[in-house]
Amino acid sequence: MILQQLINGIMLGSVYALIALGYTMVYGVMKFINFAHGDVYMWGAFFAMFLAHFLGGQFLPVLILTMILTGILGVLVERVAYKPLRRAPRLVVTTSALGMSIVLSNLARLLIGSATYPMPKVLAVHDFKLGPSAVINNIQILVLVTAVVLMVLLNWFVNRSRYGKAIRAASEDQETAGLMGVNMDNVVSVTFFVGSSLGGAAGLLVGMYYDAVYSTMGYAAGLKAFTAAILGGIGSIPGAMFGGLLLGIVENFAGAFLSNYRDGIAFLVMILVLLFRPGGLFNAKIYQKRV
Amino acid sequence: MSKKRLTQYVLLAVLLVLVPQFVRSDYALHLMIMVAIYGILVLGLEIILGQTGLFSLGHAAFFGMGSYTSALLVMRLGMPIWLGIVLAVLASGILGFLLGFPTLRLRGDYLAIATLGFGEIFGLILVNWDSLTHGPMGIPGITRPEIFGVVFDKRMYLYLIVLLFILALAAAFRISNSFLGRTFRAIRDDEDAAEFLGIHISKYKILAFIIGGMFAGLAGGFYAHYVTFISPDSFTYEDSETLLAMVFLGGAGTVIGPVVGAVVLVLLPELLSFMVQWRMLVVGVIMVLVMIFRPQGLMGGGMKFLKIKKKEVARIGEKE
Amino acid sequence: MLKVHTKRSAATVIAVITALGLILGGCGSGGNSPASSSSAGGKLDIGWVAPLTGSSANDGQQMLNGAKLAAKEINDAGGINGKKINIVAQDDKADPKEAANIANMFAGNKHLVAVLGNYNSSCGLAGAPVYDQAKLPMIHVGTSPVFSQQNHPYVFRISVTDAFQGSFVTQWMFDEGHKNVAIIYENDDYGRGLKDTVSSEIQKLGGKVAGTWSYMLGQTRDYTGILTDVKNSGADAIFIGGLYTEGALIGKQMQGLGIKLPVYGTDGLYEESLIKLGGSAVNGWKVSGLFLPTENDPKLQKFIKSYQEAYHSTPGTYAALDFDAMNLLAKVIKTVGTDREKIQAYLAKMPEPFGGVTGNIVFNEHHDAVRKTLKKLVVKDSKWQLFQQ
Repeated sequence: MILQQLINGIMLGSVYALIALGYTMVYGVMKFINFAHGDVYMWGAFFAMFLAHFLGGQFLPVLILTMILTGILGVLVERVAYKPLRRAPRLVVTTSALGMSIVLSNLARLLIGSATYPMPKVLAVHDFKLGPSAVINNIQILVLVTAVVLMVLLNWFVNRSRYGKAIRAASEDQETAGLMGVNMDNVVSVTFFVGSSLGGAAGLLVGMYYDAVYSTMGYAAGLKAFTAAILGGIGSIPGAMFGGLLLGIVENFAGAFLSNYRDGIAFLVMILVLLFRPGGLFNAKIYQKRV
Repeated sequence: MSKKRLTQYVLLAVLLVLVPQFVRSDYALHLMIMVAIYGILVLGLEIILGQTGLFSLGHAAFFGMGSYTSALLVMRLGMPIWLGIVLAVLASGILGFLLGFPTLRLRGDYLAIATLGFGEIFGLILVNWDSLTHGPMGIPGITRPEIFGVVFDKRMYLYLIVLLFILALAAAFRISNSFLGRTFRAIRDDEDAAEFLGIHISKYKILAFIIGGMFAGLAGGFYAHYVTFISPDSFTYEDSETLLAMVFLGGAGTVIGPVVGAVVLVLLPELLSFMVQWRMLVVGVIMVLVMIFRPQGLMGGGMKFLKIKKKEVARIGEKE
Repeated sequence: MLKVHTKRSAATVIAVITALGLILGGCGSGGNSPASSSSAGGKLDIGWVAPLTGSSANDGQQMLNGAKLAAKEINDAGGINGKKINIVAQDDKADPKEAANIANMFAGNKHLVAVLGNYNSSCGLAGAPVYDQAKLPMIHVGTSPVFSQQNHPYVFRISVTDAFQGSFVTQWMFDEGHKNVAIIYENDDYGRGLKDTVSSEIQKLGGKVAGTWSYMLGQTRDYTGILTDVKNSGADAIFIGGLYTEGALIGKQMQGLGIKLPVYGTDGLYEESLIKLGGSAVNGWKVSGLFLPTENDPKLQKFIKSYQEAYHSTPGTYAALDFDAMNLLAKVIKTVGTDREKIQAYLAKMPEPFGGVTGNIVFNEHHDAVRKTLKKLVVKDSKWQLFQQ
């Protein structure tokens, strides 16, 4: 029973973590909360739905194409709504993001519809028994593995690659980085591309896991993921991972034992954590520490 | 007060008394009332966010606290409505203290998420504490105010809320122009420097939350007795988000800006109501466009007759 | 310096606001209604309001489909006494504040004859005092018991009350030998009402409640925590007090966890989407409902057929309720004319039940629709079928 609840919590948590990475990436460089990220993730789920419909049961191509399409959407959002505000106070950018979030979710409703749609089968489901009363299936394992692999890749990208170096430099000090020859426009585009494509991957995985895609799914998931990012220490990649898992596990146990206050307990834990560690669990300076 | 100013005020007062007499449509009266309610609400958020720079995403909780306090006191204990609203203001102020106190250590986005969490928890308490709040069913049939035995009609509500709004606006301007307002802005612009100058940061941050909460409590108390039905659905995170958007749309830190933001965001969806399915999309597009072309907000610096320095507005939130 | 200027700007802005009020006053007094309403032939304006955006948008859309279909059929047959029905649709965003705005808009529109509306009970309750005051009859699908307590004279509810459905399903569960029931419900007035009825009915019949668990409509997507706990509670059946999307998710996650308990529910689950989303996971689910597409009733068959032609899907509970509401209104207007008070009087004391696709409808003294029976429906071979012993 406890084991099953733990598995449930880890599953939910790894989903939060994947979406949280998008918030953290953007925050690291741009220092503002991209409220539209939840809706980018929702669009990722819709892209995945259409791709799965046309490509059938081929997980990897669907995943990669979804990530590319969602990444492009993220870059477009940045170009339209944030780029003109590069020099504005970041709360202004936050408001623009709020507007963009309304636009994206309403566009999905108008273009695709307001119903909840099932995800075409990408993989067949197999159950595995863990002990006497706990079950896990291959989709859950896949969600978890993909989440971990993507996070490791992201860590490598940020810490080792040329663009990663530029991103880290920009997150430290945009002006100095600019003087050193870092092209800020490129860095921002790459950041949005990578962050959004992770949101797209989350959209596919969540779509497969719950087998349900709908135009308002970005709202609740975005809220939780954003909480997870802050809980872990926004800007920190391991923080997002850890914050997501913690939130998922807490929420799951709370949901079973005190279901009326499910979300309340998740938020209470978050507030308590913040009171004792005001910078989040991983109070790391953006992208400075390696895992 | 110069003669010219006096004429201005008299003219304005006459206008405010006369205009509602010529408005025939109840719908228009209702919208004006809603604008005034939101006007008071955003003035509170303006003090917390615009003046002091505390990023609060839980303002709807103060609104709800005011509504529920007055509704419950009047309905359960049979208190007069006027007293109920006064106590609603106090209760929301106390909630402001309770919320401000533990969040003192948090800055910027961490504060935002903590206030968001408080707002969500507050909403869940409204839903789940049935014996007190009547849960998700809400409280219907809330007493309407009456005067000399006559139950309020829309026009009387409008006069009352406009009066309350003018009081709130005057209070907000007074605060903004006083030592208190300057202290708030000092904290907003540079917390460390303010502390270095000997400002007791914690005290003023809590004070900002208390004052902001009281404004929202006033709006909430009035709202409960106006619509006569309240339920947890009316005080959600989305409402906090809308209030936030009003502040920035109008221009944070300008006092009058957020009020203009409220006017726009209350009336715009109604004016667009013929578009039914499309109107929220248009509202979103307009929000983005305003931010791109007037990042300082509609009433933020750059408008000559306001003479508020652009620099002052632009500074909000830049410092952590 | 700053002080003076801000004060003057305050005055300016107040003046601007006042001016805005004037403009609004000007356009509000007649601007919301189509100018052609007095033209030859004439139109009959019926207000319609429910969420068309936000997380309940889909249910609102279905309601609108049902209402539009009924209006189209009536208009194609020549309208009501020569006048064509014109639906004035508005979106309340599932927000009671917006519902109050729209109620005021409708109340100020003198051409409106009646209103169909509000999906959420809280939205209906926020608008109800306004409709009462404006003497504008309104037919609502909300089920909250608060309506009955408040007795709004102009508000009528066409859906099945929680009390009736809840006790009907409880009795059904008992008949099938389930005496220890786990209740999973939506934490709002709809789910709460059902939970309360089912809990008390079970105890009345001598059974027990294994536990109750709640979720948030449109937000909770993960039920594994709840379901794992349900599994451990020793329950022999699950009652879901909620809607089809959440129902389908619960079903699939039960399947994932290997929980094979019988599931019961009410008309909120009756929707094609439950099967589309739930697939094999919802096979065998038992639901109380108002109608079944395969029934041999010609009126129903015609409705299902034209709905499928128009919207390429099978109508569920909410589409059917609005379809009935619109037809009921048409019948009343045909009988008593467009006078709002006469319409109210007719609805309050219907001389004969209205035969709709959801069954015979007549309102009681609280203005709740009284239904004699419900249908027992079951998902079999991924289709809704009539339950047979």
